[in-house]
Order: sequence, then structure tokens, then C-alpha cells
Amino acid sequence: MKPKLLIVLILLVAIPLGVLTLGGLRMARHERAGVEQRFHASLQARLGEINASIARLVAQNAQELLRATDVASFDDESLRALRRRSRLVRQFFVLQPDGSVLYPDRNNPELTDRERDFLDRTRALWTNGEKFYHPADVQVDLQINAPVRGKGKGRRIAPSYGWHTWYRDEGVQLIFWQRLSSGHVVGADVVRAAMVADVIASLPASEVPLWAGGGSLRSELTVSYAVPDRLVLSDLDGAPIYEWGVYDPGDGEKPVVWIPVVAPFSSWRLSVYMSPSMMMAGLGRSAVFNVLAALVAVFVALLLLGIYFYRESARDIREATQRVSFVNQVSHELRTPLTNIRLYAEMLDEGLSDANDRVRRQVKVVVGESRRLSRLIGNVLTYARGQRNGLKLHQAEGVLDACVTSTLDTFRPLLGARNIVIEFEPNAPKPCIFDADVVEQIVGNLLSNVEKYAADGKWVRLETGQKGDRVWVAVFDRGPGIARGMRKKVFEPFFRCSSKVNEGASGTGIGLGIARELAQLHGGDVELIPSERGVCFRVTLRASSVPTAS
Amino acid sequence: MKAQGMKRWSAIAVGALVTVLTVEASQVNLDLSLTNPVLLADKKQTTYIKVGLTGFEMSDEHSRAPANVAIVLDRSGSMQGDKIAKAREAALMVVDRLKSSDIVSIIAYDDKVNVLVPATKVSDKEQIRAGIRRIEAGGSTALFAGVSKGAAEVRKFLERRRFNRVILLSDGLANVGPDSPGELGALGASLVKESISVTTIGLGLGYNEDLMALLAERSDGNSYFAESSRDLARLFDAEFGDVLSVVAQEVLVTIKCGKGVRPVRVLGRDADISGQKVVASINQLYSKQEKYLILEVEVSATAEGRTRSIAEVSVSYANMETRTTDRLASSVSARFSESEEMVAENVSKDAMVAAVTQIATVKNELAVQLRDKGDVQEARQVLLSNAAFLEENAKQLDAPQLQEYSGANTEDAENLDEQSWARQRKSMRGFQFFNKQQQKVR
Repeated sequence: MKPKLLIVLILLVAIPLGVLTLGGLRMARHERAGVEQRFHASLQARLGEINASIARLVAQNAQELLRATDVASFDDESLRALRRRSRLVRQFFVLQPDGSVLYPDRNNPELTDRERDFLDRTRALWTNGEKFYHPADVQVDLQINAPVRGKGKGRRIAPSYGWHTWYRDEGVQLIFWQRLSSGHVVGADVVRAAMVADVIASLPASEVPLWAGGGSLRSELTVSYAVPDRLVLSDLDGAPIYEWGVYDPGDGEKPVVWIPVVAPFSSWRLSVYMSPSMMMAGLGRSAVFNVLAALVAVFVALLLLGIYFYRESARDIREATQRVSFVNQVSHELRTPLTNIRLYAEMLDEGLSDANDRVRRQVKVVVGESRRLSRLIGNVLTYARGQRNGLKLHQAEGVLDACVTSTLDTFRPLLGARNIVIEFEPNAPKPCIFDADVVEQIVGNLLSNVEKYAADGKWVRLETGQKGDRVWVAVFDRGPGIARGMRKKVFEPFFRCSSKVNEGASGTGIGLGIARELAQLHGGDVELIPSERGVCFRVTLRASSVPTAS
Repeated sequence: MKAQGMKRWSAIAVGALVTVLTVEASQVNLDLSLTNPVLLADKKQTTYIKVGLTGFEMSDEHSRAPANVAIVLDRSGSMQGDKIAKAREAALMVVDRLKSSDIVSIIAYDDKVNVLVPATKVSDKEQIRAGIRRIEAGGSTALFAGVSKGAAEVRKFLERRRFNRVILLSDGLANVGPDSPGELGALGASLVKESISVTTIGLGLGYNEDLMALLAERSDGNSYFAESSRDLARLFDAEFGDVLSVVAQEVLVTIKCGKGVRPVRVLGRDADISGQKVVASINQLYSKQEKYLILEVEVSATAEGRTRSIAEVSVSYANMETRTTDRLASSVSARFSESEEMVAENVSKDAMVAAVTQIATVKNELAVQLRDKGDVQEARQVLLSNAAFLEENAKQLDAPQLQEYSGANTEDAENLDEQSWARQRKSMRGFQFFNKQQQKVR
């Protein structure tokens, strides 16, 4: 009983917990995926802002270069002087409207080393016949000052400026070009390092003291502003160009999010690295964590509830056991005096003469009632023993018919008093081995039930049978019967069919239960056989037959 | 320059004709001279022109234009201990030397860059000192980013008439961001066009001297090799002596060579040579200090007794005291004689010493290139012959500085082995830079 209860309680806790866990985790996973997506989107937006600041810087540089390349005269001297002033320009070049190189002219005997070096460095540009008609790899969002139309009608307006990028030992090389209204293209070999330095300068430092304003530092404001994660601007090969932020990613750590940088640095990347704890903070309190917390709470609640119920039921059981034990003890105490009362009453009955009729009837009543009381006590004790698994059989050789007859005889006065006609058809005359007390108790209980509940039928019939090692006794009555739905329950202890059946004597409700229990102990059963009228109980027992002495 | 043969025949010796126009007080002094004012007649030959510029004496230290300086300190892991402590001390000393109208910013970099003190007036020295004291070492070396940020801080208060300078201290190899001498040189060349110079101080034996030298050279800053952190205070002091005594900036030298004179190369400085015209720039001139450039020219054969105009030089610069753009002009011509003795007698000692120094420096650089290729023998040969060449000229010209450089070349030749090379290479690069840029302190 107890382990079963425990299992039930565990299941009571485990099943809802399991279902909740499964559902919760699934929900959390969905939720997490959603939150992660939003979080990544927000990081991407942040990188996008940085990218936009780089784009603004590129646009500024482009403006600067637009001004620098907007030259009026293409003579060598003024272009050289211009180069000395233009911080972003390593070398200028000028193309004729037809695309041929005007400056620097390779055939010019007064070419400087720098110009010759430029022509060598950019040889591929000239041999490929780059015309700078088309926008370079990427467009810069600037106003076009002097758009040049293509030849045919409906042709797209070629931009008047652009970037041209190519790769050389030190990475991406930049050329900025502008097509002037005269049709000349003025180009600038851009000092990549200067632009990279500008980009770096435009990005935040890792730590900047907060300003007190007014251009001076104040002692109370030595607090520094620092980016908690790590942002990295890296080149084509993934080598960092510039990075900022406090977090130190480990070797081989992958960025949480990265985006390509705007043109003309499209081969670069902007990435953000983050510690897992920051990720958690960024993702908000993890949904998984929430679910787990809820599960733990539910688990604790269920466990407490389980423990409470377990204790309650354990107490109930203990109390019931105590009650049974009490009744058992009382019954034991009652049995001895009752046995004496029966014995002397029976002796008195035998000793009385027929003449003394009135006294004799009274004595018979005493005998009958004391027998009933004995059965009652017998039942209680059997039940109590059954509860303690203490029922034992005491089998001995005997004849079933004789046993049933003797039991029936003890009931004759009782049944007779109720005007019940008794029929008996004995069919088990062969000796066999069985527990006579058990048979007596079972049959007694069944007859007692007839007397109590089916006296209105005024009729009872007993049949015995014997086949192989099985014997049976059937008891029929013509009482009110038992409703179909209750047929199974009548065997349960303390069950009473209904209060509407007016019982002459109140029963304990354990008679049939004990009868069945005893019969089962004896290798058989007590069954309720459906019949047209009244009730029929059939008792089957295993009773090995004794070979008759020939 | 070369030992001239003896020739009895004498001719009229005419010294270089130097015309200095309108030299007033507080003007840069232009000294245009030939190593050989008298050249051998009837012979195509190579000779050297020296264009010397000497800063005037700053009339009043207090009236000088405010300095705008970014101090960029390496605080990578290798700087730990004594180095970072000495660097902090040096930076603190710098702050002490600045006056309250000067502008300073302090930047420290490892793999990241921290702007410890954004560009600010030096009015609250205690706060700046607090910023410097916060510098701790650890991490990689984002040198390029450090310089970029330093330049950005200088740019905040950029005025052409200030002394705009980034002072970079590093003891390691740049390993985050652009890291080639070429790229840093290009950055320097770009910065100098904004009037920002970068002075580099290499500390110890771990830094890339080519990168540091090229960055300084292209931006016309100074470059120092501090073998020990003990040298830092001295070098910072020297550097600030320079920064605070800048009298001229954006000096543009234009040389027009005369007929029959072909410019070959400018020794030790970057210049554009186009036909007969040579253009070179020097960003800063310091008080009472001479900077010069040596132009190698090829002179056509000229008849005995004739005078040939060799070059006309014009110089423009921003005068830091008067805040004006001033111009100087001068020209130089040579006489031709058949007497080698005469040629030798008329050698201009000052110009010759300068030319010999530059020629020897080019040779010294060649030796480094050879040693880099692993050609130790050849490198030693070059250095030893260089030493001999210097020695000979030192005697002829009675020039102790050439004697010293001769000794240095001999020492270089003896330290080409693997163990000494890292140190020696830095020392050589340092000396080369010192020679090429006429730096005050080495």
C-alpha cells in the first residue's frame, strides 16, 4: 500500500513537471530564437551606424578629393605643386577626353622619379585601358557637379567621379577620379594610409575621459567612458586594422555579428565580439532560465503538496489500522465469554424436557443469538487477520455435504423463525480434504445474508457439487436481488447495497468480502451468478479428493 | 672632395658669388655654396651644391607660437616595468616644460587605443599628470592606430602657425593594423602636408627602426634610438628643445640649375627633380640650427677661365615669429681652372664636410641593405672603405665630425654578426637619420 502511494505521488509530481518542462523549453527556444534575432538585428544596426560614420568620412574625403582634382590647368608644374599640398594625394594624373594619358607623360624627358614610379606602379591600369567611364566598385553619395552624357540617347548619365580599387602588396589601393566638364579625367592616387588613419581617427577610442566642458579636465570627472564589448575593423585577410572596446576575445573566437564596410573599403569587415555573459545581458534574462525557475517552483510546490497528502493518508491508514486492531482485540475478549454462553445455552437446551416448551423456545433464542454473535466475531477476527495477511487454512479430511448440512442445521431455527423454506440438494458425498471451518464460515455468511436481506423471498436453496478436486456450494434465494451495477461492489468490505433495503439486522458489511477472501485462499472463489429472481452465490473450492478405500 | 692632383698653373680664383637678398632681423639665413667653387676646366664632372638654412634666434621664448603636441605612448606588454615607468617620467617632464597656452594630448596604445588626455590646453597640469600616471603596460602594438589618434588630437587644434607634432614612443613591432614602413611613411608624408610632424623614439632593441625612421623622415620629424629607458628623459628634453624653438615651417626649396648643369640627385632628402628644376621641402627649422640639402650635379665641360652659373635657389617659408610667409633667393656660380691645386685650395670646407657626410651616409645605407640580404662580407667591405674615405677627408678638411663618423663606420663593420646586428642596425639607422636630417641630438 505504502510504496504504491509513493509511486502515485512521484508520478503526480513528475508528469506535470515533465509536461511543463517540455512545453516550457519549446516555448523558450522559440522565444530565444526570436530574441536572438532581434538582438542580432540591433547589433547589426549598431555596426550599421558605425559603417554610416565611415561612409560620411569617405564622403568627406571624396569632397576633399573632388576639390583637389578640380584643376584648371594641366601643366606639370602646377600639378606637382598641387600634389605637395594635397594630403590625400600621392600622385595626380590627367587623361585626355579620348582616354589617352596627358600627365604624367612617359615620354617627357623631365619626368620626376615619383611620376615614373607612379606609371610603373599603375601599369596595369593603362594597359587595361581603364577609361573611368563607369562608376568604380562603389558609389559615393555625393552631388554630381558635372555629369557627362553617354553618346546614345537614353544612356545612363555616367557619374562625374568615382573610386577605382585594386589590390597590391599592401592591400587595397585607391584611385579617385573626376571627369571634368571639359571631358578630361583628373585622377588621384590616394594615400591609402591617410584615409585609413582618417577612418581610425573617426572611430571611437577604447577609453576617453569624459569632458567637464570648457576644454579643461576636472578632477571629479576622471571617469572614463569605455565600450564594454569589442568592435573590430579588419581587412580582407581578417587581420585587425583597428579595434576598440574592453572585451578581449580569445584566439579563434568568432564575432557575434559582422557586416562589410562601405566602399571603397568593401573588402573590410566590421565585427562585434562579446562575452557570453554580455550576450545574456543583451538577450535579456534568458527565457530558458525563466522556464527553469518556474519549473523549480512548480516542482517544489508539487513536492510539498505530495508530502502533505502522503502524510495525511499515512495518518489515515495508521488510524484505520489502530481501529481494526482495537476491534480485533475487543472481539478476542468477547469470544471467550460468548463461547461459554453458547456452550451452556446448548447444554441447557438439551437438558430441557419437551414439556417445558416455553422455556425451551426461549433457550433456543439464546442459542441462536449467541451463534450469530460468534459468527460476527469470527468474521471480524478473520477480517483482521486478513488485514495482517495472517489467514491460514487448517485442512482435514471430511465430507462437504456433512459440513454443509451441519452448518444448515445451526441456521434452521433462525431461518425457521423468519418462515424461510429450506431446500437442500447435497451432491458432494465423497470425502475430500478441505477446511471445514472455512466452509462453515462461508456458507454461514451466505445464509446469514439470506436471513438478513432475502427473508422476504421465504425460500432458500442450497446445492453442493463435486468434480475432480473441485467442490462447490450454491445458495439461491428469492429476495430483492442485487442491482446490476452493484454486483461487483458487494464483495468490497464495508459495502452495503442500499439503505432502502430494510435490513432486519444491521450487517457489518464484511461478510461477502470475507467469504470471497477465504474461498480464494482455498483456491477457489465466490461468484454472483445472475439468476431470474433473487440472488445466487456460488462458492467454489479446491479440495483434493481422498481415494476411497475399496 | 677627391684628392686633387697638383697643377702649377694658376688662375684667378673667384669664390662663389652669393647674393643674399633683404636679410633682416628674424630671418632664416640661407647659405648657398658649392663644395668646389673652382672646378677643373675642360672636363665633365660631378660636384655638389649645399643649400643651408639656419634658423634665427627666437627673440623671446614667451612670445613663441603655442605648441600643439600629441604624446603617443606604446604600452604594449613589452613595455612593462622600467620602460613604462621611464616613459611616464619623460611624459611628465614634457608637461612641465609646456606653458599654459600650449596644447597637449596623451594617447596610449596597445592593441587598442586609449585617449588618456584629449587635446587640451596645458592649464591644469595636475589632471594631465594624473592621465599620464594611469598608463599601465599590457597587450599588442597598434602603432598605426596610435599615430592616427595622436594626429587626430593634434588636428583638433590644428593651425599652420603652431608647432604641430606627434611624439611616438614605441619599443615593439607594430602588429595590429598597417605595419609596413611604406605605409607608415605614406602616413607621415600625408601628415606633413597638414603641418604635422611625427617624431619617433624607438626604445630598446625590439622595434622596427625602418618603420620608425621612415615615419619621422617623411613627416620631417626627428627620430631617436633610445637603447635604454634611461635615455628617454634626455631625448624628450632634446625633442622639446626642438619643438619649442621652431622658427620656420613649410620651408620649400626650389633650385633651378643653370645651363650645362644637370641635377642628379638630392642626398638624404626627398625631392622632385624635373629637368633642370629641383623642389624639396623641409617642414621645420629650429632656432640657431642649420638644416641643409646637398644636390649632386653634373657640370658640362667648361673652358678655362670661364664662370658658369650653377644654380639659382629660392626659398619660401612660414616665419613663426612674424607669422608671415617669407622668401629668400640666392644664386651660385663656379669658376673653371686647369690647376688642380687651385681647385683643391678653393674647396669650401663647410660644404665639403656636409657633402662627404651625406655621401658616406648613402654608403652606410647601402651597407645595411647588403647586410639585410645576408651579404656580410660585402657589407663589411663597404663600411671599411667608407671609414677610410671619411678618415681621409677628415684629415684633409680637418673635420672632427667626419673623424667620428669614420670611427662609427669601423665599429659598424665589426658588429655585423648575428648577435650584435639588431642593436647595431638601430644604431646605424639612427646615425643615418641624424645625418640626413641634421638632427641636433642623436
